[in-house]
Amino acid sequence: MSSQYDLEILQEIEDPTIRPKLIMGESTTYASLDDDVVGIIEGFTQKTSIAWYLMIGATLSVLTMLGGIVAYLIVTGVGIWGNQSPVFWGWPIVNFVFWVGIAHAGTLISAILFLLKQDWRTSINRFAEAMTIFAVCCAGLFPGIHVGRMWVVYWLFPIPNQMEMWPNFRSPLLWDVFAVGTYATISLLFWYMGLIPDLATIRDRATTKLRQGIYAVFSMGWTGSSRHWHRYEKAYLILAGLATPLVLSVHTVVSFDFAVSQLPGWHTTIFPPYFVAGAIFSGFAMVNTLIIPIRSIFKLQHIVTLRHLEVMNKVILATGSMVGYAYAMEFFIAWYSGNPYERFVFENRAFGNYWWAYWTMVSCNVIFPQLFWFKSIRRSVPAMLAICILVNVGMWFERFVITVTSLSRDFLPGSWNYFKPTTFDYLTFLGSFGLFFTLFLLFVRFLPMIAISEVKGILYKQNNSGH
Amino acid sequence: MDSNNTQYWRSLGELKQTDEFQENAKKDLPEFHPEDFSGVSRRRFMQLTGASMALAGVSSCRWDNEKILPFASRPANRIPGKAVHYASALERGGYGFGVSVTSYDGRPIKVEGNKSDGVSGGATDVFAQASILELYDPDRSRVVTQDGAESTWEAWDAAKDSLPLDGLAFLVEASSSPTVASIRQKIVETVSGAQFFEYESVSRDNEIAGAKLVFGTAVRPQYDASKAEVIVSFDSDFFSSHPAQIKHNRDWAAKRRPMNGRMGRLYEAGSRLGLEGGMADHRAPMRSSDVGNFIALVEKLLVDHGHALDTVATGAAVTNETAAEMAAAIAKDLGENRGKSILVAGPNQPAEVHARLHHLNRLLGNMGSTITFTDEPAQARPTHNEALAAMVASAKAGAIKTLVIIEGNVAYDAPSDIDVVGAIEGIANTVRIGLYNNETSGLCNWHLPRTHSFEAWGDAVAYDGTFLVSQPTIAPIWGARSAEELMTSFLSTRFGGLAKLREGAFIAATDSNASAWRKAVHDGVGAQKALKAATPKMSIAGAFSPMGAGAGIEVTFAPDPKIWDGRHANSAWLQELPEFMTKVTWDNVALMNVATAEKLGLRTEAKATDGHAIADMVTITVGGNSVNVPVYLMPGQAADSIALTLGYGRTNAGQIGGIEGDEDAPMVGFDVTSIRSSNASHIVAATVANANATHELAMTQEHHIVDDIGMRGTEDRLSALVREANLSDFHEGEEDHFRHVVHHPPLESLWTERSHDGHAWGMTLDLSVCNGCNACVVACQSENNIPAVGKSEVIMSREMHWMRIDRYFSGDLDNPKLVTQQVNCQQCENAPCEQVCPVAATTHTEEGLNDMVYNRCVGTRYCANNCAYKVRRFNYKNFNKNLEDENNEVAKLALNPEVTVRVRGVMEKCTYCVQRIQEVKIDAKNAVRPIKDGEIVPACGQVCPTSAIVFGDLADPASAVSKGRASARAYEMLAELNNKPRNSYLAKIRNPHPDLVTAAPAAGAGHASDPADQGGH
Repeated sequence: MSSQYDLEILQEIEDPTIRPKLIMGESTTYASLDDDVVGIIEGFTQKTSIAWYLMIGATLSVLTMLGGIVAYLIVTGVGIWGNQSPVFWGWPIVNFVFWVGIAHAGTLISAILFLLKQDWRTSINRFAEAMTIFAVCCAGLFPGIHVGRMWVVYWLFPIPNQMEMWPNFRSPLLWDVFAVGTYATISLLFWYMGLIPDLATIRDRATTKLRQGIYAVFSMGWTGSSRHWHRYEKAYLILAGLATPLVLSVHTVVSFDFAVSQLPGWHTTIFPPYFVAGAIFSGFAMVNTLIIPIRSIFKLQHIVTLRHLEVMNKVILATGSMVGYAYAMEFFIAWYSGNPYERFVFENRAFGNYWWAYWTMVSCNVIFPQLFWFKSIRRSVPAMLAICILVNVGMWFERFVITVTSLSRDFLPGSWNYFKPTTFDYLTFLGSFGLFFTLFLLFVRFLPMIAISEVKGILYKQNNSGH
Repeated sequence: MDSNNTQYWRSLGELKQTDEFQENAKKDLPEFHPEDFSGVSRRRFMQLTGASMALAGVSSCRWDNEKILPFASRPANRIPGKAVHYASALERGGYGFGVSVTSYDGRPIKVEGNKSDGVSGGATDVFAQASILELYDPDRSRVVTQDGAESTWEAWDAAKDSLPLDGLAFLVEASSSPTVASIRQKIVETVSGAQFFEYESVSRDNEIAGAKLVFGTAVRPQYDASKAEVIVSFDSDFFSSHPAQIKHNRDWAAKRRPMNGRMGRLYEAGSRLGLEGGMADHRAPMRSSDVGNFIALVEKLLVDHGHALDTVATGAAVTNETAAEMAAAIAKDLGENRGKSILVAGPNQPAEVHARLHHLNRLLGNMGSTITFTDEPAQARPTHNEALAAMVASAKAGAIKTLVIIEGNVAYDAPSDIDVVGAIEGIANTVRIGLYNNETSGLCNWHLPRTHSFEAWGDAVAYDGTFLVSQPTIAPIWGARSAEELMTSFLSTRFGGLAKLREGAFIAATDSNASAWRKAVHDGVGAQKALKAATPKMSIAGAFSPMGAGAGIEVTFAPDPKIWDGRHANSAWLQELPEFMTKVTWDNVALMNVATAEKLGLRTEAKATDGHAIADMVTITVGGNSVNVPVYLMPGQAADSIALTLGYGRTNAGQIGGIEGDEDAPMVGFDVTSIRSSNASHIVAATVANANATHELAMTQEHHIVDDIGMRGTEDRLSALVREANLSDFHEGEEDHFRHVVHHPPLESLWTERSHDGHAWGMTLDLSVCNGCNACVVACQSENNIPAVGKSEVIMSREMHWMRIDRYFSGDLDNPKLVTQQVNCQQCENAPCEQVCPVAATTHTEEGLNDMVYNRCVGTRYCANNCAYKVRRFNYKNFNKNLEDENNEVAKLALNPEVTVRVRGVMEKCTYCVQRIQEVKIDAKNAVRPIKDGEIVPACGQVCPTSAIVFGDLADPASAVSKGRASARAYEMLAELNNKPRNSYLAKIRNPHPDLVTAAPAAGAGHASDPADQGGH
C-alpha cells in the first residue's frame, strides 16, 4: 500500500533542512488536483465501476437486512434483543455510543484544527466530515429503535402538544436529544457548506446536462466570485467556532447518560473528559481505517500522504494514553473512595464474569496504540491499519464494558444476571455497518472526497511560501 | 304471548323465532331453573343475576354475535363497578380453606382469605391466589365427551340411566364436605354393592396411623404455636405444606417478633431445606431416614437431663456432630420449657415417629396446652394407597361394572406398583368428572366437565374443624355440573334435593339449626366447629426403635410447593412462581448436596460466563424403575438424600402444563411417579447415577454457585442489605440500632425535596417473620394483572413479578443460614427513576407514591437502570398476546378491571396497589370520615400469613406502619444513596440457643467498619 510518494515524504520528514510538503508530486497543479479528485467521480472506469457495484450491492443487502430487522422489531418488540433485567440497556446503546464516538473525528478535524490553523487537516477533512455524518446517522438510529414504543419517540422532543406535557428537562436522555441533534445539524451544515465550491467545480466540468443540472442545484449558484469567497470564509469561521464546543459537548452529554445515574460504574465524574478523549481516539482510528484503503485505491497518496497518517497516529497515541489514564484513574478512585459498591464493580469488571471483555478493551485501547511510540510502526501502513482496526474493536468493547458489566451486577445481588446477546443483536450491529458503508460508497461515487478548494489553498501556500 | 302487547324485536330471527335464533338464545343466556329460586335469598338472586350478566360477556368467546342485556333499572344494592365480596371455600386433599371472593359485576377476580376461618384468618396460600386463574383457564374442559368425541349432557343423562348399578364404584378425591359424606352414605344405603374408594397421591396417612398407634383411634392434632416457646420440626411441613400452615405461621409469627427480650426458638432436623429449616434458629441436615434416630437421641438426652420418661428409645448412634450438638440444646430447651413446646414430624416420617412424638409431647406437658386434639374424619377410611389397591383388586375381580371417577388423576399419580390404568381399561363403563379433561379422563368412556369451587354450592371442613360454605360467585362458565350433582343422579330418591341435603349435612355436622345455616352462608363459616374436640387416652408406648435406615442414598417425595401433586400444573402463575429455595420456575429438580453430587461425578461449579443455568441430569432408580431429573445443588440439603417434588411431567395438563407430543405446549418438568410405589411413597432407598445429560433451568436468581468475585461481593454487602442480629445482641430500646449498620457521609439532595401534605404512604417489611411462602408474589400478580412470560423469557430474565423475594445463603455450604428479603418498589421520596425519565412518565404524587404513567411511557428503560432495587419490570414483548387468541377470551375475565393491562414497550412496577388506596379514599370521602389505620391493605399485605407486610400512613404517628418505622429494628435499604425509600425493613432477629452461639453475625454488632464513614452518627 505504500507508494513512491510515501517514500518521498519519509525522506522529507527526516531531512531537517526542508519543510516537508503537505501535497506531494512535482506535477501537482490546480488542474491536476481537479482531475485527481473530480476525475474519480467523472471517470469511473469499468473496473472500478464493477467493484463499486459489487460493494454497494453487498452493503445494500446488509442495509436491507437492517430494515427487515427494524420492521420485525417494531412488530415484535425490543425483546428480540438480549436486553433483560437488570441489563435494560444492551447492545443498542453500546452501538449508539460507539457510533457517536466515531462521529467525533470529523468535526474535530474541520473545526478545532481549522481554528488552530493546522493546514494538514485539508487533505482529510472532507472525508472525516462525511464519516462523521454517516456515523451520526448510524448512532441516531439506535436510540430511536431501542425504546419500547418507537411510534411515540417524538415525545422526547419539546413539541407543543394537546397533553400540555413538556419532556423532563432533568433527564440526561433529553440532553442527549439536544446534544446529538445539534451536533448532527452543525456537522451537516459545515460539511455541506464546505462542499459548495467543489460541487461548483464538478458542475463546471460536467459533460452531461443531467450532471450539470444536479450539481448546479446543490452548488447553489456558486460562481467563485470574491464576494462569494469572502462570505464563505466568514461563514466557515463562524461554523467552526460554533462546532468547536460541540465537539466537546456532545460526548460529554452522552457520558452524562451514564455519569448522572447512580449506578456504580456509571456514576463517576471522570466520564466527560474520558468519553471525549475516547471519542476522538475512536474517530481518528476510524478515519485512518477508511482512508488507508481509499487513498490507495483512488491513487490519492500525493494528497493524503504518509505524513497525514502519521499525524493522525500521533493523535491516536495521545488520546489512547488519555483513555488508558482514565481506566487507571477509575480503578484508583474506586479504591480511594472507599465506596464498597464502586470497588466491587471495578474488581468485577477486570476479574468477574466479563473479564474477557475488559481485557479485550485494555489490550486494544491501551496496549496496542502504545506501539505508535515507535516511528517505524507509526509510519508503517499495514501496522497502523491493524492497530486502528483494533482500536475500533476496543472502543466498542469499552462501551460494552461500561454499559453491560455495570448493569449486570449492581446493588442487590438477588437481581444480578448475565447478559446474553441474541442473533438479532449481532445482526443489528452488522446492519448499522451496512447503513454506514452504503452512505460511504455513495459519497465516494458522487461527491469529492478531498476538499479541493482548500487543498488548492494549501498548494498555493506551499508553492509560494516566500523563501 | 298476549297479542295485545306491542311486540319488540331486535332481529328478523327473533321476530320469526327461527330455530337458529332459539338455539343461539339458549346458548347465550344461561339456563333458568325455577327450582333454584324457590325459597332463595335475595343474595342468591343477586348472584344469579350477576352471574348471568357475566355470562352474557362470556358467551362472546364462542359466538360472534354479542347480545348485551343491560339492566333496565339498577338492582338494589348493586353499584356497577363496585366490588362485592362473597364468602366461599376451596378444598385440596380433603382440607377446606375459607376464602372471600372479590367480584366485579358478577365476575370474580381476586381471592382473599376468610377472616372467620380459623385456618385462614384472612391470609391465603399460593394455591388459593391462583384459583382465579384456574376458574378462567381456557383449558378447562368445556364439553362432555364420549370416547374422546364431543357429546352433550343430554346424551350423558340418557346413557347414565342405562348403566348397570349392580357393580357401581366411585373413585373419589378426598373430601371433607359433610354434604358429600351424606350423599355417599345415601348411595351406599340405596344402591346395593356400591363402593367408594378415596385416593390422593399426597396424604397424611402416616400421621393418622401414628395417632392410631398411640391413641388407638385417629385424632387430629391441633397446634397452637402462639403458646410455644420452642418448636422442634422433625422433617416436618409445619409451616409449608401442612393444611393448617397458615395458622401455624400466623401463631408463630407472634413469637418471632422480639418482645421484651423474648422470642420463640425453632429447631429443624430434616433432609430438605424447606421453609421450616429456613426459618429455624438451628438446623441439622440429616437424611429423612435418620430422623428417627435423632429423635431417639433427643429422648435419651431428655432422660439424662432428668426429665424422667417412662421408656427410653433405642436408636442407632447419631454420628453427625451438628445434629448431636443441636440435640443437646433441644433437650435443654425442652426441659426448660415444659408445656410450652411443640415437637412435630412431617408426613414423610413413618407412623412410629409420629407416635413417638405424641408420646414425647405428652411427657413434656404439651398436650392440652400447645397441642389439643379434635376428631379425625379420616378415622374409618383405609389409607389412600390401600383404597386404590382395593379398587384395582375389585376391578380385576370383575366386581366393578361402572366406575365413576371424581376429580383426581390416577392415570398420572398412582403408585407405580398399582396397575390402575389396566384396571380402569378393564371396566366396562367408566366416567370421570373433572375440571380438566386430563390423563385419567382419557382412559374413561365419558368425561364430564366439573364446576369450579366458585361456580357451585359446596361445603368443606377446614383442618381445625371450621365448617365452610362454598358459595357460587359465578354461574358455571361451561355449563358444567358439580360432583355432588353427578353423585346424586345415581340416587333414585331425591331426599329433598341437593339444597336440602346440604342444609341437613350442615345441621348434622355442627349441631346447629336452620337459621344458623343462613348465617353460615353469609359468613362462609359455621358458628360451630364441625370437628369435636377429642381427649384421646394414650396407651403407654412401648420401646421405640426407629426404622433401620442403613447407609446409602435415599429419595424423598413431597408435594410441590407450587403445583402440589400436579393438579395446578396448568396454572401459569404457579409454574412461573420462583420456588422459594431454588428460585427455579417451570421445572422440578432433584435437590442434592454438593458432596453427594461430587461422588456422582456431577458438575458442581456452574459455568459462570455462559449465563445459562445448565443442570446435569441424574438417573434415579428404585426397584427397577428409573427417572431422569435435573440436579439442583442445594446448600443445606442433607448428604445422601435427594429431594423430589411431585406434579411435573404431566402428559395432558393443557397449554401451560404441557401436552405430550404438542410442540406448542411443551411438557413441563419430569414425572417422578414411576419410582414411587405404594409402600414407599415418602422415603425410599435408591441408586443414583450420572445420566450424562443436561437440562436448562429457568431461574429468577443466579445460581448460588457463581464466580468467586460475585460470591465475595455478595458476602461483603449482604450484612448491609439484609440486616440481622441475634436476640442477645439486640436491644429494643436502642433507637436506630440497625440504621447505623451502614455509615455514610452527610446526605444532600440535588433538588429541593418535596414536601408532603396529607397522607404519606409507607410500608414495613418484617424480615424476622417472612417465611418465604410466596403468597404475596402470586397475590400481587393476581391483583395487578401481571402476565406470566413463559420459560424462555424467564431464562432471558424478563419475569414480570412486581414483588419478589430475594433469598441469600450465608455461612457453611452444608448447613447455611438463610436470609430472605421481600423486594417491591421502595417508593423512594428522592426517586432516582423519576429524574432520568426523559418524558416524565414516572412522577411523584402528593402522597409520596412513585407513579408510573403507562400511556406516557416510551420505554427508554433508563428508570430501571437507575433503580437501585431493580424492581422495575419492562414489557419486552407483548406478554398479554395469549389473550388475543379467540380461545383464550375467557382468560380476560380474570383481569382486575381497576388495573391497566400494560402494553408492550412500557415499564411497570409496584404501585402500593394504588387502586386499593383510591377505593378506600373515595369511600372515606363519601362517608366524610378519616381513613382508618389498616383500612388500606395492599394485595401482598393482605395474604401474608405472618403479617410481615404492613402498609399505612406515615403521616399518622399512631399508625402501625409509623410505629414499625420508628422501632429499633427498622432500617431502609440502601439509605446511603439518599433515595429516602418509603419502605422500611424490620431487621431479622435470630434466637440461637446460647450453647450453640459461636460468633455473632457480622451485622449483629451493628456499626460495621466502613471507610466511607465520615459523617459520624
